Amino acid sequence: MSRLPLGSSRFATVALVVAALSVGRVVTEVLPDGKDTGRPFVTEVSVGETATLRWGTVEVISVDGALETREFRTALRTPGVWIVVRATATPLVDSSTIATLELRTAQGSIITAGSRSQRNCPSSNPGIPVECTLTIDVAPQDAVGAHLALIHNLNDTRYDDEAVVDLGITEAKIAAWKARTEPIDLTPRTTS
Amino acid sequence: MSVNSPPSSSGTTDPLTTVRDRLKEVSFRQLGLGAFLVALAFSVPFGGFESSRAETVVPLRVGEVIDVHPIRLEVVRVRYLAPTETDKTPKVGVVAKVTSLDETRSVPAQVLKDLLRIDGIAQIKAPFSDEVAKDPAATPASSIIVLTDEQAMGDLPPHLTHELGWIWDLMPGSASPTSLTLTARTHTYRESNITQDQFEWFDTTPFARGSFDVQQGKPA
Repeated sequence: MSRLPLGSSRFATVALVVAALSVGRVVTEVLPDGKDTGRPFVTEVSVGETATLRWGTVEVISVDGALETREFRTALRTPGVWIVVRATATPLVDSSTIATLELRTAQGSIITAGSRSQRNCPSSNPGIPVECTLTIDVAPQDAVGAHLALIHNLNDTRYDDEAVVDLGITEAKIAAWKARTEPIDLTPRTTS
Repeated sequence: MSVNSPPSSSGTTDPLTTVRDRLKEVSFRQLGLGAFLVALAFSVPFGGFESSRAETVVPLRVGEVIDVHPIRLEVVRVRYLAPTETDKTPKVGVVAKVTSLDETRSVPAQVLKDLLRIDGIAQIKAPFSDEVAKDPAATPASSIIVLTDEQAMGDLPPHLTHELGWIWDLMPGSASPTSLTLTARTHTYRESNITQDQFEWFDTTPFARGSFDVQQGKPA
């Protein structure tokens, strides 16, 4: 078997290494980065419109606000404003519900709903709508023009679809909410 | 082949001998440089050699505003809360005002929990246990409450200032401490690892520390 001369062999090795590195560089530059590949599929709606998602449909019925919410004897106060959203969620295939909320402000920041926020939105069976009460507190200037993302996965906004609802919050609404003296009562209504 | 390397009995040169002879020709400086370059090349996929933060701890005092990323912090007071008829657990509370320095997203409640640690008290109760904490300086507060409504704190949104109380449970019968050491710890916002596109606040590091008198507060 004929063999390449020593110089040619080294040259071929170096050329192969350089070619492999070049291909790797091109691949990493051409492929989308993690943020792009993981971005959610967004369905934008307004209050009163239904968003049809992979797992079900959601609709925001009403948006309200105040400096204080109350559930039974527990009051929650905020130095900003509480946004209180009533919505319905209807799963399509599996028992499911809204698991994560994010308020996305007009300035581009993301307000997550932590333990003080409420996500009273029980899971229901396919075709059965459930009424949800969702609360989140935010600085007044961040509430104006904010959108609420209703997400099916728990604490993970990637890859799945989501409803993003324009809450229609204006400066006039914020002023009215701040002037309110009574807390918004979140105590579940009983049927008895 | 090096002139210094003797041929083996079979007439070929032992590779180890060759390497040893080559190394003899290389200066110590060249050897160090080579090792550094190899280490640098291997570290590139993991971010290369980043400059590490010097662990300098600045003073922490009552009433002084300090930026402990991602939180702007002002310690207001430290109090001992005596046990009551309904709650036999004595407590120590640190009251502080907090504002988020991150205008792009809420600060998770866990970061607030990791923000403060106390030391200098022997009888801190371990979390989810009736035993004494083995490492008080590493023990997080058992709860963080919002002072205006005495309910648990959650995520901290941008542009809002909250007055919060970090509450540590003490062992039953613990005497009131007269002073304690409070440490505020900073975080770094970075990707969780190289395979997931998840950014969070990590790398909790002591940033400010101070000694605080413990006031005698109302019963817990």
